[in-house]
Amino acid sequence: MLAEETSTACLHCLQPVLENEAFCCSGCEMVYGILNQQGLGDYYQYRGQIELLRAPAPVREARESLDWANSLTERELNFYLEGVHCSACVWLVEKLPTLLADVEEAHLNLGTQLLQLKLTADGDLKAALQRLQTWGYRARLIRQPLERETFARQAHFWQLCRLGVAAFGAGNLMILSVALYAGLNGRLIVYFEWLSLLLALPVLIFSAWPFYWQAWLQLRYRQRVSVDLPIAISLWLGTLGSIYSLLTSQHELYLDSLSMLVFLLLLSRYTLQRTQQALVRHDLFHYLYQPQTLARLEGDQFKQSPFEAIQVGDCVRLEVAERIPLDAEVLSGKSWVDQAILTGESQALPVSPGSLVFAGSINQDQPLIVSVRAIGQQTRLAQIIEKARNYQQEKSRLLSITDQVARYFVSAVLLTAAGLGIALWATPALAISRILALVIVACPCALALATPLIIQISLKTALAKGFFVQNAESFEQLQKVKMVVFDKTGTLTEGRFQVLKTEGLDSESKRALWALESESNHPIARTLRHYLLASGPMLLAEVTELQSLVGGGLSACIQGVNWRVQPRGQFSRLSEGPLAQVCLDIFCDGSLRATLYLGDSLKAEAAETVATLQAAGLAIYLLSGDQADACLQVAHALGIPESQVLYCQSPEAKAQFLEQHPLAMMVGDGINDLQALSKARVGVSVQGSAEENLQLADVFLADSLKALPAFFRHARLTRRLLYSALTFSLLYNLVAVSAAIGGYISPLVAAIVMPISALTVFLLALWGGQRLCRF
Amino acid sequence: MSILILFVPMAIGISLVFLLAFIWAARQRQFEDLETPAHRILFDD
Repeated sequence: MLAEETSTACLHCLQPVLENEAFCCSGCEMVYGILNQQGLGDYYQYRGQIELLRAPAPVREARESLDWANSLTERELNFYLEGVHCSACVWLVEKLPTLLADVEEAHLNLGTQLLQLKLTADGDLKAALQRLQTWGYRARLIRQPLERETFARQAHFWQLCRLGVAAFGAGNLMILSVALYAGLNGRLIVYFEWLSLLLALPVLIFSAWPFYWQAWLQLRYRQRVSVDLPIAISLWLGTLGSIYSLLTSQHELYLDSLSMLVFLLLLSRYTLQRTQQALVRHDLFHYLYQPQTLARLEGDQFKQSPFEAIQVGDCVRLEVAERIPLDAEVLSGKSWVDQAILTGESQALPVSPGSLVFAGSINQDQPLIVSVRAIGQQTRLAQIIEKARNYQQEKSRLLSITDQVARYFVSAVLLTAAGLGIALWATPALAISRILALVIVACPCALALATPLIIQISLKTALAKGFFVQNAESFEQLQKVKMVVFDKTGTLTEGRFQVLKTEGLDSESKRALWALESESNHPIARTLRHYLLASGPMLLAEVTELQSLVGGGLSACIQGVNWRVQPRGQFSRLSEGPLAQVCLDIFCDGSLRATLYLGDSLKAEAAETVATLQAAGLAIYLLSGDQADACLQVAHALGIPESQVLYCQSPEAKAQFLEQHPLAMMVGDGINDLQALSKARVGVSVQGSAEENLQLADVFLADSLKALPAFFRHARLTRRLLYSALTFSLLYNLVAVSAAIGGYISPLVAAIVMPISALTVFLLALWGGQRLCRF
Repeated sequence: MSILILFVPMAIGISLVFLLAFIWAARQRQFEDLETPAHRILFDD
């Protein structure tokens, strides 16, 4: 273990470490020890071989009590596992059965992060979950209604069947058609034609069913016309026309082209769907902050009862370091509560009897006895999310360019067909064959094929670069963005309370500070302890006469000397870094020894990102709930004009601002920005875990703010690809339609041109995808 | 050339076997997780 002492990366997590340190933190050291102890050192070997498959997302710090696990009697359970990111994780998690006698089978799906756990008859679920927790994974039980899961599985099965039948039919038809086009004659023509029909009917009825169904729904409910309608029309007319020509021996069959089209369309849609599903699972959000059980007062003692049974007015106990799952009023107990998720405020707030606590915040200090005010959909958190979801739905009604083109396209083709019918009224047979050729050849192949393919490739490469794109339309919307609105806390700044600057802090005063703060649970004391530990091991000194001072601060006698820590009321903020919020003086025997400044600090990449975006001609705004001076200082440090800084904004005011500025992109973090994110044309979220953020933001940048300019480039390239595919498609159709009107399209030409156009579009998309990967 | 009347259906019949094999595999849920097995095979045990 000490052999790699010279390395600069943590042995466990590969983050950079201080010189001569093997680990970045004691947590990593512990996990490393546990793994080696249990003979699982191979983990590091596997991890080393294979690159990360998904960006590592931090698991939320709140530690869950696992008592609920004992109340479950099922032996086969599904979990959503947070913190899984590479194949070494698969290896480790699937080792569970060999390590624990409680587990019979463990099966992890890396794509969806779903873990199937099968326990032995008397296996202890809690033990298994605890083991996962020590490894740094967090398992969330999925209690999906059984019918829904079976339904999804069935749907997937039928989808695959449709695809398989289409591949079978189209492949065989191609072979038969070659013979027909090559000039087969005599009796065999009729035989081959009937065989073609036999092969094509399952494809055109069974496989193509989703297109007919979508088209029917669009007509029935007068929804916006999508590309499905022209496809359905082409398929129907093509099939009926082919059967008609078969019966009248005209030898004009389009069955092979149509079947191939169905196959390619199904294939591109299927792959797109798989990519999107791997990205996010909406149905899991419901469970995100919900514990399985909660300690409820029954009679005169607290009993664990299922969360579903908790009602408004109940008296429950909220444990330390857990997410509070409901809105409540504190009855007894004093604690600090971190409400960052709701307010964006980086400093924890004190709560005492009478104060309100809200779902989503974390109880940091001591257990609280509370009376429940609101549960589930009634909590403030749920309402914020609900509101944001509604906005999001409104937004998705914006027409995407493909659908817009499809809409005009359908009307144009139908009008031309009608015109052709009127013009050739005198010769019905000719009119029918021309109209048929027109409709088939004009099928928006490229449109329907290329768009999903390009979007799928783009989403996939985006994922590899650390952009989780939830809403593929943001690629298009990004073009219209003229301004970028940043949230301050947690987006441009670290969002964490930390020591920014020290004056005169020597080893003696450090030791005194450690001694003074080691007992306190105040958030500032924690920050200080963290800071002191990072600078080296701390020895415990003998402390007597420890007392809290009026107006904040502590004093004590340490090894016979009187030390005192006191916050300074007034200090010049400007000179002490942009975001200093607290200034602490350390006195020794009444004379000032050292001064510490604490506060939030700017992210290292913030200045560069803002400068790059400004250089690209975007207006940068700062929108924050924080006080004026803090905002202005940040703006000043980043070169944002003062006229574009808005401070003291409530979440509602932020949302309103974005509503008034429809060309804005919002960059924020966490739930407190959700309303604004969902109102923005494009909402980007930059902090926390993908699971949390992807629910409502359009885009989540896993790495850092620095990826923002790269995301703009990625979107631009995607758009360019989409437009070139559209242009190609329209050009092709223009030529083909004119030829069809003129009567130059014979079945042979149609059969050659249609696959070629499909193939061209495919290649175009793949080539473009390569370029997307490379830049 | 009349032999085609026999051979073509035979060829189609063979490909039908593959179609059924595919449907069987889909029924067995072999297409639900396409990512993890590729990594699992690298582990020694």
